[in-house]
Amino acid sequence: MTCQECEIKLGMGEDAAGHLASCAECRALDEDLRLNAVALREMRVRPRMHWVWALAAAAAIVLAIGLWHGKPPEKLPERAAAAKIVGPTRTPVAPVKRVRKKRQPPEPLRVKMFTSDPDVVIYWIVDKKEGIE
Amino acid sequence: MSEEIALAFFERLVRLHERMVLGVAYRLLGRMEDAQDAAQEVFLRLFQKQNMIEGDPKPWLYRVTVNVCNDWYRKRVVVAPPDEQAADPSRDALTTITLEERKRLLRDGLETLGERERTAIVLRDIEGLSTQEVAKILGVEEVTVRSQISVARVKLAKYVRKHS
Repeated sequence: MTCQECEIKLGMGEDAAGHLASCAECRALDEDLRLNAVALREMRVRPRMHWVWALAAAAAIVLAIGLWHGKPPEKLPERAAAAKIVGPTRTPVAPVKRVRKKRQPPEPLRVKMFTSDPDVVIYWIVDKKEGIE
Repeated sequence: MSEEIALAFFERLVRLHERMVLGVAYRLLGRMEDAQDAAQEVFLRLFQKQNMIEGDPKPWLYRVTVNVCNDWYRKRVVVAPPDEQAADPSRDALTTITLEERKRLLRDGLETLGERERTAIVLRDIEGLSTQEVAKILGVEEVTVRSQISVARVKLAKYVRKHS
């Protein structure tokens, strides 16, 4: 077996013990390949990205608001024409005064975006009335 | 699918795969800033196409990540290759180097590989996918992947030896 053939075998993770016994150069290559395999496996440690989360959430909110605004008004179900009820004569009832609750302004939606700089955090404030600020 | 369900589904997908996508992008591009941009593009594509993906989205994500990164790599301004003079020829080839140093050299070495070899070795040896899975993602025969990985491993080993 030549050194070139041995390289291919070693690269594929196959056994080339016969050649390795007589070739110091290929033995060194074999050693490096094994150490590299360990190092490459170690490189699998993955960083985490917070900003994608924020981006995804922001994109989804924008889309949701867009869809909500673009929706045609829902059609009310038609009342059956035949549902004319002739009941007993109604006795007048004193009207009940309805207490109207004061409408609270909606809380603005906040999207917190982390950046690579831990000191910098971006806030997106989504106002349901006005759109995105 | 209602918007809320779609959103919840998308969030789950991002949470499950963000690390994988960023990790692969980082190995392929070698720079975290580029990797983040590439990962962002991958997730935007996922957002647009999530309704079209059936079953496990992992192979789709790997494929799109590889494609986005390779496009990115081609468009990127070519930086000067690692300084050949940096290697000290007087150093003994058998000098042991630390694992961290080896990892740094491997990261540099990955930059010197061709696109296909780099992609194959990142998916196979770093991501730990099977040869069959890598072949499927890259759309090539298994035998081609085996050959690319073999060549890439030997090139990396020689690179590390030369620069250590």
